[in-house]
Amino acid sequence: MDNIARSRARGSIALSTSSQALSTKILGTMALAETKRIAHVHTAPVHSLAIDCIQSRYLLSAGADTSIQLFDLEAHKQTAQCLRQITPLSHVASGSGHTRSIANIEWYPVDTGIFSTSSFDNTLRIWDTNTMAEACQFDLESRIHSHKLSPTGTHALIAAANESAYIRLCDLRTASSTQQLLAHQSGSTALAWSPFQPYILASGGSDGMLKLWDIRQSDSCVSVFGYIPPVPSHKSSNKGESPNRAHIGAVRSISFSTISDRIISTGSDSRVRVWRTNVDRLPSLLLADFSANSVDTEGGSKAGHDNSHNKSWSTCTLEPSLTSILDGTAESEIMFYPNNDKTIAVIEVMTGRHISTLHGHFAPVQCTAWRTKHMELYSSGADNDIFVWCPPAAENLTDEQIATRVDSWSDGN
Amino acid sequence: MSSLDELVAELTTTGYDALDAEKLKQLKQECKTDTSGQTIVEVFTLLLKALKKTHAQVRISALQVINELFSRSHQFRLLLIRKLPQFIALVLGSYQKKLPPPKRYAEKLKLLAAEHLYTWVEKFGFAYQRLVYAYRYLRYVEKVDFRSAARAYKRTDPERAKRRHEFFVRNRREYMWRTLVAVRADIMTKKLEIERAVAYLNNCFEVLIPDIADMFGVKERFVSRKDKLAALKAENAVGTENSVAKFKAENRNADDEDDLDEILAVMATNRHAIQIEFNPEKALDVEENEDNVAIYDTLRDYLQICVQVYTPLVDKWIERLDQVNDELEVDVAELKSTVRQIKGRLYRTVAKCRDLGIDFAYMDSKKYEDSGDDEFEDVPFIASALEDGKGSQSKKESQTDDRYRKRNQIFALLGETGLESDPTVVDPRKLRYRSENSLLKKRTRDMDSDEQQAQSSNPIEDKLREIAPVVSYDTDLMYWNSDDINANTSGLEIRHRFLGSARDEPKIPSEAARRMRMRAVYLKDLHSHSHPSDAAATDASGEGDSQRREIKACRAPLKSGKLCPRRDLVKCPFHGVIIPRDEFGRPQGQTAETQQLEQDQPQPLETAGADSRQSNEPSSVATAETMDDLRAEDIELLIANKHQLPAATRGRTRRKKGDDSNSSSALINIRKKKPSGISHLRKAVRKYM
Repeated sequence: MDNIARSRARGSIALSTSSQALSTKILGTMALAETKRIAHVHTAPVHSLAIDCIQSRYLLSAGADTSIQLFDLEAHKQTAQCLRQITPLSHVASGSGHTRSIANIEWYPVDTGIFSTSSFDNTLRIWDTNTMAEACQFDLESRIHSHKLSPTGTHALIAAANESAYIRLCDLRTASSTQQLLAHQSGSTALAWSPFQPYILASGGSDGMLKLWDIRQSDSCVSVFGYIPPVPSHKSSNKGESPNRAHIGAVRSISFSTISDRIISTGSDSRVRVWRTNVDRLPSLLLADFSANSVDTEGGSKAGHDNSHNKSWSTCTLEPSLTSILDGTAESEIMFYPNNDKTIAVIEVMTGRHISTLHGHFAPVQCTAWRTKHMELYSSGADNDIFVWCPPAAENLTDEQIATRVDSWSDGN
Repeated sequence: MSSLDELVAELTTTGYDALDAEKLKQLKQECKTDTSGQTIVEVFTLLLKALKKTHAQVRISALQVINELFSRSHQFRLLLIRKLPQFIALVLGSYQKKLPPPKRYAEKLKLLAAEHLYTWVEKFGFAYQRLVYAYRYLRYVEKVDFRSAARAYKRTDPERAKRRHEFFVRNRREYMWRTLVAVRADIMTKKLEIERAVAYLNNCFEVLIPDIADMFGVKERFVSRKDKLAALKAENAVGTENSVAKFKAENRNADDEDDLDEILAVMATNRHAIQIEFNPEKALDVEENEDNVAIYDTLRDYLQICVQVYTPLVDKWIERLDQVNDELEVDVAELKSTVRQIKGRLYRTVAKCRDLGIDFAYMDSKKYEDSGDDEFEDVPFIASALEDGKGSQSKKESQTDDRYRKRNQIFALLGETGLESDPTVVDPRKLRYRSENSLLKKRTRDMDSDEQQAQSSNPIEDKLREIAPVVSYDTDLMYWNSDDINANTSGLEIRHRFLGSARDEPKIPSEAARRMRMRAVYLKDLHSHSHPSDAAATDASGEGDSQRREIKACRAPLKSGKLCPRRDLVKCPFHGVIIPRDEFGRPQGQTAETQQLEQDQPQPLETAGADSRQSNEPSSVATAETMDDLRAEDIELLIANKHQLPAATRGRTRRKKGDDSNSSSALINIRKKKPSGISHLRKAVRKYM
C-alpha cells in the first residue's frame, strides 16, 4: 500500500490507477467483521439477501424457513460476545406468508416501502414494509426461481423466471401479468435488467442459454450468447457445448456491469463469463472466461465436495454481488462469488484474477449482498446465519478484544 | 525440526488420558522462544496431521495439545480458526465422515471437543467472531449438544462465568427498568378508565338490586365487608319479601330508620317467629324486562369491556410486573398492589354479573371493537371453563342443566325440562355420549355373535378355520386396517433448497398402501407332506416333479475353509461331478483311505497348510464357528507339545514384535481383527513351518 502511495507521490502512476489499486488491495483484505454481527434468526438455509439501494441501510433476508427478516444495519445492541449485534427490526413470521421456501427477495428500487418475494409455492408476493403485510400476489402456476425489478425505476415490471418455458412480466401498477416471453424450454433460472436501458432484460435458462430481450416486443430476443471453445475438441461435442449455449448446465446468475455495457454470467459449470452487449460492433461476444473455483481451499477433500454440490444445487440461483471500484473511468469491477466449497471468491471481473478467498462459512454459501459506500459484505447460505465481512482496517477493536488477542504463555507453566 | 516432529508424535501417541506434562512443557517452551512464529506454524501442521490419524485416542491427545496452545498463542488461534471447518469435522465428525474407532474413545473425543469449543467461544469469542459463528452453526444446524460442556465450563471457570452472569444481571436490570416504565405509563392512562367502568357496573347493580344496608341506613357498618355480604344482603331482601310481606306492606311508607328499629324490636321480643327461606335457584329476585332493559344493556356493554379488554390487560400488567424486582424503584411494590387491587375489583364485579344471571355468550357473537388493542386475545372465561372440567359425564349434565336454568334469559329452550321427551329435539351434548355407547354395544354384540358361531358347530366353517393359515405378525397386518399411512415419521428433513421444505402431509398413496398390505406366501408341497410314501415312490422312480426335489450342494472344500455352496444337478463347474461328501467336504468314498493316511502320519501339521486343515479332525462339533475354534486350540496344543514351549511366552514374544515402536503406549490396536479360527491357525502354521 505504501508502494502505491509512493508511486503516486512521484507521479509515476495516474490518480485513477492508484486509487483503483488501493481499493483492490483493501478489498483483498476483507475478513469477518469482528465488531459487528447479525442475530441468529433463521432456522433454515437463507436463499436471498437484499440491501436497499437508496440508503444502503435496510437488509432483507429470506429462505427456506419462509420467514422474512428486516434488519436496520445502523441499529445495534451489545451482547456478551459481540460489540454490535443487529437484531431484526421486524419480520414476517414463518408460515404466515409463503407456504414453500422463498427463492428470492428484492427491494422496490425507488422506495423502501415495498419489497417483493418469489417462492416455490408458485407465487410472487408484494409486501408493505411498514406493516410487513402482504399487499398483493401473483400466481404463476410453476415454481419461481428468481425475479427482478428494473433498477431504473421507469416502469414497475417484475420479471419472474419460473420453471415454465415463459418468463412472466408482472406489472405492479395494475397487479396483473402483462406479458410472457417464450424464453427457455426447460425453464429459466436467472434474470437481470439493464441498469441503464429500462426495457432490456437478460435471461438465463437451465439449458445453459443466455438471451437478451427487448421487452417492448413480445418476440424480441435481441441476441443469444454462445460459448465457442477456443480449440474445439472431440470431447466437447458430446458434452452439450453447442454454439448457442453460454454454459454447460444451468445459468446460475446474470449481472449487468454498472460501469460498461457488459453482462457477467455464472453457471453450474463453475465458470464466470463476461459478454459484450453491443452486438453490432464485434463478432465475438465473449470477453472473458475463467473458472470461479479458487485455488486456495480450506478442506482437503475439495474435489469430492465440488461434484456433489454441483449436482444437487445445479438449478439454484446463486447471488453473487458485483461492486464497481472507483468511478467510471477505471474499468474494474470486483465480484464476490459464492463458491461451492463454503468460501466466497473475490474476483476481478475483467481479468478473472482471484484477489482473495473469504473463509468463514461452515456450509455452502448461496447469496451475498454488498453494502455500497460502507465496504461491507453480507453473505448467507446453508448454515442459516448471515455473516458480515469488512476490511479489518475499517474496524476498531476494543481494548478488551485486543487484550483477549494477546499471547499468554506465562500462566500454567 | 525433527525434534518437534518427535515431540508431537510422542505427545499424541501415548494413548493415556492425560498428556505428558514434561513433554508438553518442552513443546510450549519451543513455541514460546521462537519469536518468528515459524515453530507454531510447524507445530500446528504436525498437530493437524496427528488429528487426521484414524485413531480416536491419538485425536484426543492431539486435541488436548491444541487446547493448551490455543489458550496461549494468538497466532495459533488464528491458524486454527482458519482451519476451523476441517478441525470440526475431525473432532466432532461430520455427515459423511464418522469418527474413527475405538468407539468408546470416539464418544469421549466428541464430548471433549464440545467442551473445548464451548470454552473457547466463552473465552475468545469476543475477539474472534468466527468462533461464535462456528458455535451457532454447530448448535443450531448440526445440533451438537453443548449442555454438558456449558456445565463443565461453569465449574472450571467460575470467575468468567460470574462476569457473564453480571452482564446478564445488568442486561436484565435494564430490561426490568424498561418494562417498569412502559407498564407504569400504561397503568396511569388506563387506570381511570377501568375504575370508571367498574363504577358504572356497580351503579347498575345498585339500581337493579335494592341494597338493604343502604335501605336501612346502616351502610357505613357494611362498607368494609360490603362485597362479601352482597349475597347475604340479597338473601335478606328475598327473605323479608317472602316471609314478612304483610309486615312490609304495612310499613311501606314508613321511615327507613323506623323500619329497622321495628324489625329489631320484633326480633328482640322474639314473640314472632321469623322464617327466612333461601331459594338457591333464585338467589336474586331480578329479571330482565322492558323496564330495566336499558340498565342491562349498559351492564353488558361495560361487562364486555371488562372481560375482553381490561382483564387481559391487567393480567399482562401483573405478568410483566412480576418480572421486575421490588428493589428496582421505590414505587414498584406500590404499583404492584395497585394493579392487584384493580384486578380484585374487576374480578368481583364480573362475579357479581354472573350472579345476576347475565349470559356471557353474547360476547362471542359481538366482539368488542377496540381500535388500539389488537394485540389482546380473547381469553376463555376461566370460571366457566373450570365448571366444565369438573365432575363426571352425568354429573356434568345435571350441572349444566342447572346453569342453563339459572340464566334462561336468552337461550330459553335450553333449560326446559320437557325437551328430553320431545322426539324432535336432539341434545347435542348427548350425541357424542350416545354414539360412544352404541359403538360399545355393537362391539360386544359382535363378540357375542362370534362366540355363538363358535358354539354352533358349523362343519364347513370349522373346516375353513382349520385350514386357515396362522401367519406371523408382519407389516401387512400392521397396515391391515389403516388407510392413511404417514410416509416420513422420522421428523428428519433433508437440508435442501427444493426438497427440504415440503409442507404437505407426507402420506403414502393408496395404491402403495394396498401393496403394503400384501404378503408373499410360499406354498409348501402339501401333496408330498400328506403322502410321504407317494413322494418317496416318485423320487425313487426318477420321474415326477424334479424341480421340487432338493438339489444337493457341491460341498467341495474351498480355500476359505468353507464348503462350496453351489447347487448343480450333476456337475459343479469348479469341482467336477457332485459326489457325496462328509462334513469336511471329503469325498465319502475316500474316507477309509484318508483315515489310513492319518494313521500313517501321527503329526499331520508337518504336511502342507491346506492339508493340515483338512486332516486335523476334531470330533463332535456342530457349527462352523466352534469347530474352527476348537481346531485352533487343538493345533496350538499340538504345537506346544511338539516344541515344548509354554503357550504364554509365545504370545508375549509375538506382541512385542508387533508393537516395538511405542513400548509404553496404551493405544488400542484398531487394525487387529477379531481372532477367527482360520486366521489364527494359518498364522500358527506359517510360524512353525
